[in-house]
Amino acid sequence: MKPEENVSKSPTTAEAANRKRKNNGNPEGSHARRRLFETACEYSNTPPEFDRFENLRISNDEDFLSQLEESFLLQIFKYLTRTDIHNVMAVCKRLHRASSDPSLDTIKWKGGVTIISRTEKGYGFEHHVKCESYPWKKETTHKYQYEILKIEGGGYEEKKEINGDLEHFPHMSVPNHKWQILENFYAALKNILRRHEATYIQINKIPCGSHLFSRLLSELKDHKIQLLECVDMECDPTSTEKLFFAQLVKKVKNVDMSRSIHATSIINERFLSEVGQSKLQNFSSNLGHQTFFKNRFRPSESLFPHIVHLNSLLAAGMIINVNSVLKLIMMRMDTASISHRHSYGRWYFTTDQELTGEIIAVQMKEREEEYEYSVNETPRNFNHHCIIGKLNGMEAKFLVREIKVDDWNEEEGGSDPILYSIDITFMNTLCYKEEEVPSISQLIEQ
Amino acid sequence: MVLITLVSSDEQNFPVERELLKQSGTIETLIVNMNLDDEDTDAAAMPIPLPNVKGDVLEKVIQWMEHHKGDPVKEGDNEDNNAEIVVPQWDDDFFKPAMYGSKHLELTVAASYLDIKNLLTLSCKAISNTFKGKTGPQIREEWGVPNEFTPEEEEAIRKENEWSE
Repeated sequence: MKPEENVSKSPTTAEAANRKRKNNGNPEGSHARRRLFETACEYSNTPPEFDRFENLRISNDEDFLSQLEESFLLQIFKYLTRTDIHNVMAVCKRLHRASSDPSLDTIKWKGGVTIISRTEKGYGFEHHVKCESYPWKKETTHKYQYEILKIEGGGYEEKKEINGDLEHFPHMSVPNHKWQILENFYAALKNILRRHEATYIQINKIPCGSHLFSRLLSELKDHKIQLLECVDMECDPTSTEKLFFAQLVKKVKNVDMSRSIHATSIINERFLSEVGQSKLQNFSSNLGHQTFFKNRFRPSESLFPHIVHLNSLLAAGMIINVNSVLKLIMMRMDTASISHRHSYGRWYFTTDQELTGEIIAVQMKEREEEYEYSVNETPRNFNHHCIIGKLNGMEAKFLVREIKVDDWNEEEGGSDPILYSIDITFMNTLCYKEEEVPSISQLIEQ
Repeated sequence: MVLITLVSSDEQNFPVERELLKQSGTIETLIVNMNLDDEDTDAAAMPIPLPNVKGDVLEKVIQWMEHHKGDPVKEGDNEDNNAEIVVPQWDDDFFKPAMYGSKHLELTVAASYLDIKNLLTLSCKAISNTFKGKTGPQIREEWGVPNEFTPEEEEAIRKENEWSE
């Protein structure tokens, strides 16, 4: 739009007041215009950058960029990747200073693997940078290593290396101490994670009461974590660390506890209801290990809406009443049919009685127009059950197996120490997609 | 159609459709605070002075707002989506002619002053796109920035990493 010609120029306060009085004798109007002008002028003072920018423009008519006010540079830099920010640092001193601003620390080097371990004599971490464009990377990975050790006679010793091979590290050692992790450890971890994303995290042999999870929660608040793997994790059932662990799990897409057989007391109805409706998509614990059945729990149906969003849920200790199993399976299928994210998944849990074809047929009666049921007997006398959504393309294939439980007690009801595992594969036949989650060890080897 | 007149710092008048001005947080606040929307108020008699925006820049801003009339006004800042913001072709063509000069930066500053979030976002994103995949010396050359670093300083920047900071 072109500026209007032959219109009056914007009035000064005095001119506006005079004109309004002359026109209609309404002093209210002139007062309003005065306020408008003054308010507009107030607004004009809000961005001091503009005036400075104007001056800069006069002083140097060529180099606008490096003299732009820092707040604008930061606005521009927030759309860059960490690689681009690194390149911008080398442009000039002003851009170097602006691109080092802490507000840009949320933009990180992608694809990092962080391994936190209790070592033989202390605690340590490794951070492997997998980012292709990492400027310091000489081989396939760039590795930062840190360890803090208590030394005889008091005090401690810190070790830092780049692409080195710290003694006692990483996680093959057998620790025999349980002292608290020192602040220096967290400071070093914070320094690395400030601009490096911990996409994959492995936690090894961390004792209960270490407060690691509460600290990790704050250090990882702006990280997008794909996988959290806990190895030989110890957990006191009464520990408040459980609450922090649940908070951490809620930030993660995939959690693997299959190598933490002594921490199964964490997994209960309260935990799953808390983490179920979060970013978490896959949760696995070890299948078939006695410890998982030992820490068993019997959730009510009120848990179901919280967990049906999970792609995969491997929780052997979750004992579902046999009369609720079909309801849970169909809820999972209903949810998956409206979300492409759930095209493939595996669930594993336990039921208190054998889920037979007859029970399934009875429970499906109400929804037989939507779902179709079939069963095939395999050569080893296992029944392969299959439920197919007639309208939504969802399919659930499952196998029911008998499990003998050693430590059954009378208080739990029933005298028969037999449970049945339910191993289900869900698939959306209309948009099949199996998402591979690499293990930490695969990532390190790559 | 209600028109409101904007007055640039060099005293050019721009009658603008009231509806368009909803894209500017600064002007919208002025209009609401001064009751310019009231039936009793003679909005045409109250031009809004913008002492920080020159006429040629204001003209570009109005041209941009006319094209984006009816677009949803961005609320707040969504950090998660920063990397995914794409500059539409029309905007790219709109920004391009003045990209490496002062005009584009003046437009960006005006978008900030007038609180036109979508224009500020796209304008900054368009500038950031000129940095993508470029080395420091390449950016320097494109934007006419003199090299202030000594070879020793350049080497120190190249070697900077997390353990050495």
